[in-house]
Amino acid sequence: MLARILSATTWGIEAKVVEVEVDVGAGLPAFQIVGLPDAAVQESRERVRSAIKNSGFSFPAQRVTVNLAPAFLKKTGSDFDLPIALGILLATGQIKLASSFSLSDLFLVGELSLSGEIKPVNGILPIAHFLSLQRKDSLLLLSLHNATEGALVEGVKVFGFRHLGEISDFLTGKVTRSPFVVERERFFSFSSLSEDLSEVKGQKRAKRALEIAASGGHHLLFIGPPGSGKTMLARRIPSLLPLLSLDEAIEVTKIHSVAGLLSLDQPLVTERPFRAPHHTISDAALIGGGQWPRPGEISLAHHGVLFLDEVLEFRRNVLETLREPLEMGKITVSRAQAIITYPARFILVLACNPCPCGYLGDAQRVCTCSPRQVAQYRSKLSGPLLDRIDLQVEVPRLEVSEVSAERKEESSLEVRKRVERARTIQRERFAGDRIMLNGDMKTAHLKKFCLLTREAKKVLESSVEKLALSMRAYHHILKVARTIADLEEEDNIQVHHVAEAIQYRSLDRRWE
Amino acid sequence: MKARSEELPFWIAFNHIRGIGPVRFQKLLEVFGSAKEAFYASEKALEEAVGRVTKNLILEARRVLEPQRLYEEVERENLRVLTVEDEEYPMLLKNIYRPPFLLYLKGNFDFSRWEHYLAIVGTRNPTPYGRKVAQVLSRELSEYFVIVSGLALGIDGEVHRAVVAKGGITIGVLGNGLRRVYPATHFRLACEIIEKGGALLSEYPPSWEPRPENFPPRNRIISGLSQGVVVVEAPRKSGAMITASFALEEGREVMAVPGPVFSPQSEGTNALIAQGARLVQSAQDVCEALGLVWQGKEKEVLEPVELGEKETYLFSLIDYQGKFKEELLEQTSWPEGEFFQTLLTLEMKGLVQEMWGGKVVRA
Repeated sequence: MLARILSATTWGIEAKVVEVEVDVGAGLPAFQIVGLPDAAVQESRERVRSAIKNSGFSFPAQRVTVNLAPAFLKKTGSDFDLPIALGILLATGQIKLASSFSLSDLFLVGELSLSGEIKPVNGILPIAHFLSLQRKDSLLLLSLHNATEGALVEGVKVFGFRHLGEISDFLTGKVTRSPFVVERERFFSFSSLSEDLSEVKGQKRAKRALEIAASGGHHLLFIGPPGSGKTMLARRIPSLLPLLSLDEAIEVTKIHSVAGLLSLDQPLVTERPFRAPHHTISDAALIGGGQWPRPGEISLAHHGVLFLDEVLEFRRNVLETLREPLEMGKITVSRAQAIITYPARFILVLACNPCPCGYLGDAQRVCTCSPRQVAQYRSKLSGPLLDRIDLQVEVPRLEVSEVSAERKEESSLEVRKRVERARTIQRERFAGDRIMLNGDMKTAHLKKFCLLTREAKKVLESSVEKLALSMRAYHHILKVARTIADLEEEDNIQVHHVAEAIQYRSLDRRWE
Repeated sequence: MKARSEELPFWIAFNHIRGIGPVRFQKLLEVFGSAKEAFYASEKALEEAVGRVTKNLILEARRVLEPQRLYEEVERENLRVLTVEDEEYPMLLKNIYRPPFLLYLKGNFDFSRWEHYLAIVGTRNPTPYGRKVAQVLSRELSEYFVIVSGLALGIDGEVHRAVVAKGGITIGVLGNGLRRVYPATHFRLACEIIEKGGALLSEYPPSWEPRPENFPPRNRIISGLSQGVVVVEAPRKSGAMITASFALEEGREVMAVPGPVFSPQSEGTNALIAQGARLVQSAQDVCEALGLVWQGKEKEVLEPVELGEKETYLFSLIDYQGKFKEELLEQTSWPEGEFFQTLLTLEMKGLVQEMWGGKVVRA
């Protein structure tokens, strides 16, 4: 007898349908899986055999052949345990599908334990999302633990089960169930418990830079001694960004789902991610990789913040890999098994010390570096990656004065309101230009959108000359000045916008 | 000295032996009459004269060094070599305890043409205040003195630069051979020193690399060449303090520029003043200390710059030690745009300067 069951597997953050054909026929007892299965899929034979036996069914003493189609697509993971088991039960006639079901609407994804229990797998959201778009009104049968994740998208009926037996009861019509429903809004009950800007005392200038970065999507470099609060500040950028929309949240969740980072109680990622990989990270871990390319840190930071502390400690080749994603907002990872594209649009925040020992200019500790070491250190802060950083901010380590300790600091919510307003202005301005934020502007856009008042132009030109700023700095200044003007809802860039923007380009000055 | 051309190769050869300095060389000259005799003296005679260790050094040198070849090498370097017995050897230096027996000189400079020499030295890691003082003093004093310094980074560099910019004459004393300029970033400056009629000076053979132990002896030359030493900024332990103590030993005038008591870079200079060094507040003080008549203005007056109310206020908050922009922003409690615009105006008018690391100082 032949049975044909539908399943699906992830391909990057997309999904593909896999047809599981099970043939049970005469011959010496054997169990074979074909269709480019990897080791994990091969092992599912043992799980399926025991799960069937331990669920009160019998495993056929016949020749069992399983084909996973399309045969050219490499199959990986334990997603197919459930459809294979069900296929065997159907092919041997141990269960009969109730007439209300049609096999072409049923999609099964899940791992089996030896006892027949159904276990959760990674990548359910991409599959459910795919089905909701391509196979409307299909039924997705999976582990109860995966049900919430699967039900996040509309247009697909999700049923969660604990045990193989429960599925057979459902499919044979012994038990009727209604599809699993989740209140998505529940996950959006935004927890303001996360880090808030008001917890950082003082650091007015750095906070201002955060606001500008969040508004215009500018990448940011913090220069400051250890303990000055660079990490603390960077962590608070996500709270300044507009809340994730549902579509964005689903996109981010898909990436986290594929990477296996979703928790059972929070299956939808609703907060903007903040990723801070250690400086020993490999290029594959940063941009994505592996035999089966998995999303790297940059994709996990999609729609959020990627923070590289001690940026000079990162290996150069690792940093170089960031160029493409910074340019394109996505990354394509090619490996022998697959070529996969992951989205990667994030605000990059870098942090470093002002000198090798870290204490240059510090009030409490004396810097032990020679001027030459400092100059060498500074010269390392250049290159193609640093060229893409619009804002450079010094973060000094200061004792908090009593006044500022008692003063009430602005909360993230207040800042976010301004950020959202500035972003609205940008969205309207760039409506026809395929970019969204000031940070994305190219040279052509600068001419079109960065109009300076006459005085502002004069100030900019004379400071470029006097401070020996480079041409590159000029472009960065324009972009940042544009955002500062947007924050004040000004159409044209004024002198004080330019003056402030110049203050964020300390690396471009010529130091002796 | 016997026929100079015959002797010089051997002087140069002895100069190439690490472990033989002015004292031992003097002893050899006394015992053997000439460097050549000393170089080829018998083992026994050498041991009697300078002891076993030095004898071994000389025997080893005899094996590997060829005086004539060394001499030709030095000739090719386009340097002048001054021996302690030469007429042109600087008088002031000759008077110190164990003056270097050889000096290598680059540049068209004649010691006998100039009467007054002044050393201005300081830390390699100065504050903006120190830099400023070094500039002003050097610029004004270059009209009265040949300014001697060590061509190091920091204060020394500022000194040479200021003198060269004024068109004055300055001497850089190196702790390495003259074949290269150390630190390399001062190569340009070294060339300008020579173009303007100054000189680079070293007691080490041209090919020798800088070594940490070369620098204290170098400092004795700096103070030895000069009637007085001005220390601009120096932490307690530093080369500039060594220079000052050599000057004290040789009876040269020691002068120091006071600094804030909180500044580590002024600990040394303040300590010198406490010990009795002359306190320097202006170039005039230095001139008078060394018995010269000051002919300049009473004190350099800054050209008045037109400042608005806000600019004046912000300027009053900024000192010579530097304040973080963050602090200033806090103190003024102005909106960012206003603050940065005012700050930029001050910077464009040349009144303040931004430092790497986020501080702003008075320029």
